Amino acid sequence: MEDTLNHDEPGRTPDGAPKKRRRPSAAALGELAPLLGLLLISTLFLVLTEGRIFGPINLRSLTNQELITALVAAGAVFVFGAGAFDMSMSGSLCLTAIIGAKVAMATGSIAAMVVACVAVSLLIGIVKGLLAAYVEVPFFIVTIVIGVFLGALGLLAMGKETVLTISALPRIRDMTPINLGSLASVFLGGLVLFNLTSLGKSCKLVGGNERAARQSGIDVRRTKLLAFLVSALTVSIAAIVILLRTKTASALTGGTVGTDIMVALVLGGMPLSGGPRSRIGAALVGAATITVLNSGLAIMGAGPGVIQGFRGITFIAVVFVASLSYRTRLLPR
Amino acid sequence: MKKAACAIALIATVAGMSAFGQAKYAADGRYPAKTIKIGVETFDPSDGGYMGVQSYLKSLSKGIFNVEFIFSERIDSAEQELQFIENCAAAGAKGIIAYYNVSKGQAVAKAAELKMFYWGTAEEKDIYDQYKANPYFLGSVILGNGDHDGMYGVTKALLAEGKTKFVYANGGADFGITMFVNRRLGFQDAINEAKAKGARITATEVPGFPNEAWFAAQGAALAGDIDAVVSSFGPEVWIQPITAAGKARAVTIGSFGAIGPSTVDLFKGMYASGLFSAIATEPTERFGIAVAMIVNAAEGNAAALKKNGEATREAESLWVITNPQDLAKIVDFELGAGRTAYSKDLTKLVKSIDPSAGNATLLDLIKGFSLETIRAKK
Repeated sequence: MEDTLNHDEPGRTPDGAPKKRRRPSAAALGELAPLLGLLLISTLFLVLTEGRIFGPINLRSLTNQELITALVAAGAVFVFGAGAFDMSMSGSLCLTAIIGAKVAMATGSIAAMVVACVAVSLLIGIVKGLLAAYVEVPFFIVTIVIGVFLGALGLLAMGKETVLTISALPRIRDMTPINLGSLASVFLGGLVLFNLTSLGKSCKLVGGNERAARQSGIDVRRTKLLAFLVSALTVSIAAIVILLRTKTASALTGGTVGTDIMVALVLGGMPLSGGPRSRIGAALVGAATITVLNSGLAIMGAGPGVIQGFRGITFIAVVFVASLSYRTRLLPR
Repeated sequence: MKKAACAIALIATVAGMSAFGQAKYAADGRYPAKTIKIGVETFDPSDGGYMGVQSYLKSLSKGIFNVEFIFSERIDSAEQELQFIENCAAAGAKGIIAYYNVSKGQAVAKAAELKMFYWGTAEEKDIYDQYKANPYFLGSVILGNGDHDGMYGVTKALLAEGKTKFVYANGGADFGITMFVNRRLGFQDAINEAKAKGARITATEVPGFPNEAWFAAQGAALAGDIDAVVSSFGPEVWIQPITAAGKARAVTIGSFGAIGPSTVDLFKGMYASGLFSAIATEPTERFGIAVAMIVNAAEGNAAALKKNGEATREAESLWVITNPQDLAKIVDFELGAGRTAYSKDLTKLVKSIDPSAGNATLLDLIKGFSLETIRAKK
């Protein structure tokens, strides 16, 4: 009887032809590029700043600085992972913070402020999710419009005030426990949700190929809506942290977050087109990279032009190396 | 033998004392011997006024004080501001000069927490009252209601020329940036006053800062029937468009701006051609006072300059220049020997250099850069 079992001979394909060897070094390098980039930058600035960058004062400030980008980026992983390109994160964060601040000023209550931030952010998330699920327009265009609209709402909410100062909030000298607590809970929750639940897997599949995901039985609309709700939750946490830390809100709150999270995700090794290569860790690694870079250059007294230039070079370098891992194996859509 | 030993001891003592005195200065004659780092925070690093201040601070650090400045990037949120202050602390800075403030008292509290002296924000009375007794809060020389008064003065100058059809470039007023909100209020107050006296005035606003949309709005405004442009930021972006629109003889500009080596010829030419009528400009010398106060404070003598143990809150007006003669006087001061002499006088604020340094010295130096004082100089 002919042996019909497919016993692979090392070095040969099932039909006997010699196997082409994969280039493990390029692939592995690409996978590790974000982490290597972070380690390289950290080591470089450890030397250049004579250790000050990781001194006790600056470590606290590093967590402060990394936190907002990391929190919002963690939620954004779900959205970008599902293939939705959201350009309205800054507007969402700004409006959430402004409403939260107004509630805190009116009630003097931290609890009310927290509820307001969560409610406003979730409402924004629902609107975006429904638009992503039901509107057949390139979504990033929709989010650009949403971002402008949210900014306008924020200005309206500010009224004649230029800055909202919440005197009712106590000044928290050391935000480290709150920072670490919120960071840990968001990332642990995100890890479980994204990697171990059907929501996370659905996000990756929808981001990879929406049609195939739909045909596989995944409720694409529901997945997108839930992704935006998760993102909205992390935005609300970020807004609460900003208000606790700065006790202020203005039309410019969270102004650069939208760009920062995209840079963070790319530096963290996640393609903004989403899909199976999406990972929660990208948010943390990327945010840490930006933060160390900014902090190190600032400590060295680099001027704004130098900082921008250095950021650009680092971005290009990490993206190039990271792209080595998927450039040759990118499946056409 | 005894006489020789005494002579040697005397010579050694005198030499030692001189060496000790000279050790306070760096080898190049700047003070102090050890470099002091100072953070400088701004909203917009490309703003003309800020660039003038930056240039002045750099000149101080080259000639008078052994200081190194850490200039911020664009800061437009409270988080970025606190982040910058933390970075300065990590870099070993001893003080912060706040050209801009967005998180209000939080910035002062953060600097104090990190044991850095904070110069600025005294124009915000509630913040000043809250922190005036804090040893790390130095206060500042305020410009009264400078933003409002400057734009008011510029607009009044144009109204005095008979201008009635205005375009106002409001900068960041629509974004809620305090400086631009106050400037717009100044413009509006001047216009409303004229209207209350029966003048028929029209005013169109061009919001935001130069970008594609802004230039489109600028073009639309210039296409209308106008005779004056009031700008809350530099006038440079208006000159060529006005000329290109063929309205160089009909339209006059008044604006905020900075007098410096790169702009003085421009302003002289514009005044001479009639294209320019008034400029409100911030005396950069008050930031020289900031540097001297921080150097003094870093050596433990902050209290010497305080009145009743409270942070400084002294007012001096900004310069509103409405004629070529005043412009010439200011230019002579800013770019000539006047500023150099003033800068050297700043060392009188450092108690380690001048034991008589006190609040009276500070007040003298503040008066020293007023427009009236400069006009009176020969």
